[in-house]
Order: sequence, then C-alpha cells, then structure tokens
Amino acid sequence: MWKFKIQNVDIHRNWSLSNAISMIEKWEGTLLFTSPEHNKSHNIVLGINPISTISSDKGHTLADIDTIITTNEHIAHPFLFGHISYDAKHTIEEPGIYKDLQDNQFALFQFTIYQFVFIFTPSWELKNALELTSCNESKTVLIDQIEQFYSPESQQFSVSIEKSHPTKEEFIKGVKTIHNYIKAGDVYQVNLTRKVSATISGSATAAALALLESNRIEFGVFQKCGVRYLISTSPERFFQTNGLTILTSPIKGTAPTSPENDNAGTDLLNDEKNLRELAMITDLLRNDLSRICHPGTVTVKGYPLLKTLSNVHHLVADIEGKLTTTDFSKIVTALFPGGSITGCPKIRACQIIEELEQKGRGPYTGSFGYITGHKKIDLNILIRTVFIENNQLTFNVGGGITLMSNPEEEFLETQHKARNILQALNAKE
Amino acid sequence: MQSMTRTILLLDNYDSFTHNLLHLLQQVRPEYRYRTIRNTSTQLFSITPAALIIGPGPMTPAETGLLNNYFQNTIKPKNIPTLGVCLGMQYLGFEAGLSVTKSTLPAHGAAIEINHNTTDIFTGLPTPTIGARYNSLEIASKTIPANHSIEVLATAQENGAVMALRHKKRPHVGVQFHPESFLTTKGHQIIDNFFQYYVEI
Repeated sequence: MWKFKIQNVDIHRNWSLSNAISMIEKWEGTLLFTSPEHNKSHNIVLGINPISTISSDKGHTLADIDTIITTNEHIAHPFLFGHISYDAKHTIEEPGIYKDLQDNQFALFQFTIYQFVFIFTPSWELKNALELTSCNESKTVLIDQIEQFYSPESQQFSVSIEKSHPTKEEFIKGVKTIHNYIKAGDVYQVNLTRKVSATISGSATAAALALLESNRIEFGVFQKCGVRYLISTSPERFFQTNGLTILTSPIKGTAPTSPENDNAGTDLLNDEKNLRELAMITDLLRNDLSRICHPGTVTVKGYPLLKTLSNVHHLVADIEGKLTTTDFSKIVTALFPGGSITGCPKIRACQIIEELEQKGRGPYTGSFGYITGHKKIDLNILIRTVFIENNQLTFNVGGGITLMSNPEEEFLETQHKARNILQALNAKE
Repeated sequence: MQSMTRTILLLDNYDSFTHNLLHLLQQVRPEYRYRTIRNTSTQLFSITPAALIIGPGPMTPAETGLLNNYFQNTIKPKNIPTLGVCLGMQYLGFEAGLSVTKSTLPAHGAAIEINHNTTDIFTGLPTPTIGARYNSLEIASKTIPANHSIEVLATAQENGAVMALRHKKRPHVGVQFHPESFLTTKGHQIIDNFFQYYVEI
C-alpha cells in the first residue's frame, strides 16, 4: 500500500470558515472540528486536494486502512479523513443478522488522503501546514495555487421541503410497534428516525456555511467529494483513541435551552426517562469497549454529565478503557454502529429499525473522523447531518423510543430537530 | 491447580451486555479459561464446561437458539453448575415449568432495591441491595408453590417479582437483575459467591 512523504509547506493567506469552505469547493476536501473536551487538542483540521482514496466502492476492506496506517507510522498528524456509513453494519456483524440496505450513493466506508493538511487553533490560527507526496500520483497542485484566494460565484441558495419518510402517521405507528416489542421483551429502546428530503437550488457551499454557523460546532464536518457534499453539526463523539486509551462519550437525552427556564439543565439531570436511557447506553458502550479492552479497565468516568450547546442541553456519559489492540478495523468491528443511535440490545434494535424505517440510512448515524499514522483515531456520530447531491438535500431526524415515550411527542421532537436545521437553511416548508 | 485449565462457558444470546458479564467473571476469577459462544453455534455441543453462564438477551426463554437442546443433553445429565442472568434466569424458571409473563413494571436501566435473606449467592450482602433491572418479562413470586423444584432467593421491593431463584436439587441459580451493570453495587460479590457455593465445592 501507499507510503507518503510528509513535509512542511509555507502558505500565507487569510483563514476563516468561509475561506476554508471555498477552498474545498474549488479543490475538494474535508474540514473537521474536534471538540475541546477531555484534552487540550481542540483543533480545526482541513484536508485539501484528494490524492488517494480507500473505499468500499473500490473493493477495499477496513483491514486495508490498518495497512495504510502501519505503512505511514511516521506521520504524527491526521492524514486519513472519512466516514463509515450506518449501512455498513451488515458487513461487520455475523452474516444473515442484518439486511443489505443502502440509501444513497455514499460508499459504505471511504477514507481519503489529501495532498495538503492544515491544522488550526479554534480561532483559525494556522499551527501546521503539511504536504503529503508519494511517487505515483498525478493530481497534485502547487501550493501557490492553493494560496490564491478563491471566491465562489454565488452565495445564493434556497431550499424547499418535499417529503418525509416514514410519514407522520407511519412514524407514530412505528413508535407504537416499538412499545409492543419492548413489552414482549425484544428490546429496551430503539432509535427511530425519519428522513426529510428537499430540493436545493443555488450554492451548496453557502448552505454549508449557514449550517456550520448556526450552531456551536463540536464535531462538525464539511466534505466535498465529487458532486456530493456532507455537512455535519454533530455534537457527539463516537470514540477517540490515544495510545492504548479509548474514550467514548455517548449522548442520550436532549432538552432545549430556554431563557424562561434556568433549570432546564438541572431538570434534565434529574429526568428519570433520560437517565435510564443514558444508563442503558452506558452499559452498552461498556460492553462494546470490553470486546477490545483488558478486563477490569473499562470504567465509567462520568455519568451523568450535562453538556450545554447554544440551543440544547444534552446528557452525556464518558466511558474509558485500555485497549488490547490498536488496529482500526478491530476497534471499528467491535464498536460500530454506535450504540447511542441504534438502541439496546443493539442487534435486535437494528433489526427493528430495518423493519420500521424500511430504507438504509446512508452515512447518517455512521461516523466521520480522522486517523493519524500514530494510530490516533477520532470519530464522531453523524447526527445533525445534511447530504447534498446535485439539487437533492436530505437529512434524518429521530429520537430514542422507550416505554416511557409518548408517540405524538416523539414525532414533535423530530419536528423540533428538523426545524433547527431548516431554519438555518431558511427553508420553505 | 485443577481450576487453571477449567473452562467457563458464557452463552451469548445476541445481547449487548455479554462482554460486561465476561469482564466481571474474568475479574473475579481470572484463573479460568472463558469461552463466549452465541446460542446458535453448534460448537456448544463439543464443550463440557466447569460452569455455564447463560447471558442476558432479547426475546423470551423459548427463543434462545440451541440453549434448551444443550441444557437438556449436556448440562442437566452432567450436573454442571449454571448461573443464569436476566433471560438466563427466566430460562431456568421456564425450563422448570414456571410461567414467564409480562412484567407489571417493565423497566430498563433502573437501579432498584432487591430484598434477599443474605444466603447463597447473596451471602455477605446488605439487604436490600441495589441492582440494575433491564426486563419487560418476569416471574411473579406468588405463582411459585412451596413444593416447587424452584426456590426464590430474592424479590423486587417495588412489585415482588422474582429477582433471583435457584433449583432445590440441581446446581442452577439465576438472577433477574444485572450483576454486570455499572448501576449494580455488589455484582462482584455475587459472582464470587456463585463460584464459591456452586463451582468450587
């Protein structure tokens, strides 16, 4: 597999979110935000101009990513950027357990190596500018070209909503079906989602900018790959590895922040439905970490924790362990898909999701992130994520259904989540 | 020395807590060899373990793959010590003829108070003790006649449902709650007691 040389490059230009997005529009690339919590490595990472791709579409396997990492262990910085789709779950579990459902044109997994990698502080001060080269690539560009200011032709866009799948009636019926499955002993909780489709005209990058500016970005992503765009304002870390330490931080429980109610966060911390869901997912993630950690090392570092963003509070847990392997493929196989977006027990929950949602989810509720040559991995959970391809814009919204859920309220909750995205896009309903 | 090579079989009922249970077992008794096998695997039939742990799982005790076949043909004839957890306990009750019915208080991720009389696997524990419950089905303690082969060891404070049971003549014991959950306070001691009173005698 490919080995890359890495060197520092000089680049002098102004940096900002909109400049980064414009560069990606011109050259293709990935912009990633990593959260400040738990360590001081909060960074913005930008990859520009793809030179190699490892993808299920090219017949690669997750083990090929292990090989690439091992071949490039001299690269201390993030150099692989990409996603694993939720729909890849059937390739990871025992054959016959899951259906092969695929929702859109995104690969089941795809990681890209970019010619240029720029690493910034949260306030866009450039920390590192790096160039990767190998002997067999032809698509390189000169740093001078990257340095030039590129201004997109149009900043205009408009979005109009077309449909929801499942419909409101089907969604509410789905919640009731889940209640019956819970009462029968099949599951404790299922994350049910629906997909909103819209048409977009005008600039996809302007839409991306509007979305990324609409929220405090924790684990946000902007990626352009060919004609496809992935824009995420995810608040959730799936997992991060650092040496032999792995940390996972599932989110369960959401309450809107409210100027009239200072206690909204405290109320959430004492809400029995949400605490039980968080406990369930904490035990589930302990289980998944235990598959690749030494006995006795998997510990709950924080439960429950309150995380407050600009418009919502979340309940979070932190679970840590000491790894028995640093292989990307083994870690992903043990943990994927993230328990916070499936339900519990995971396998039965995913089967019920297949039955009720009927379609795949694509990359939604999969993961996006980066990997370094030192085997540091940081992946998010792809929620609050919008996909644009040609003039089609889609996203999913959902929630955790337990026996304590009210079907009508669960639907309203998805409407509330959809509205947050649509308002940022100024969409016509 | 004999225990150094003995195998404990953990039956995985396609659950999301199986490996929590495995890690708890490995912490309490690191000297055994552990094998985790899914309930559909015919590999089961080639193993005669020192003890069987029937893990938790979805669905009902009748929907547990090859468990019943294995239990009737290997575990019972060879009198192998068995610990059932959640679905595993329900299986032990079901196998002995008890009814497993919809719970009057289905709850998942709830830490509840469990009453017991500090014997058997509850030796040395305070009563009530705190255990995590993840169940929609249960065995109601009042449905078990005094002369039944199954004896109740613990009940839920909130509704009297069976939280632990054992077979009067065979080395089979089960817990409805989850000793491996982070919400359960004395899971380590319960597993230690199982080994002491059922396996290492």
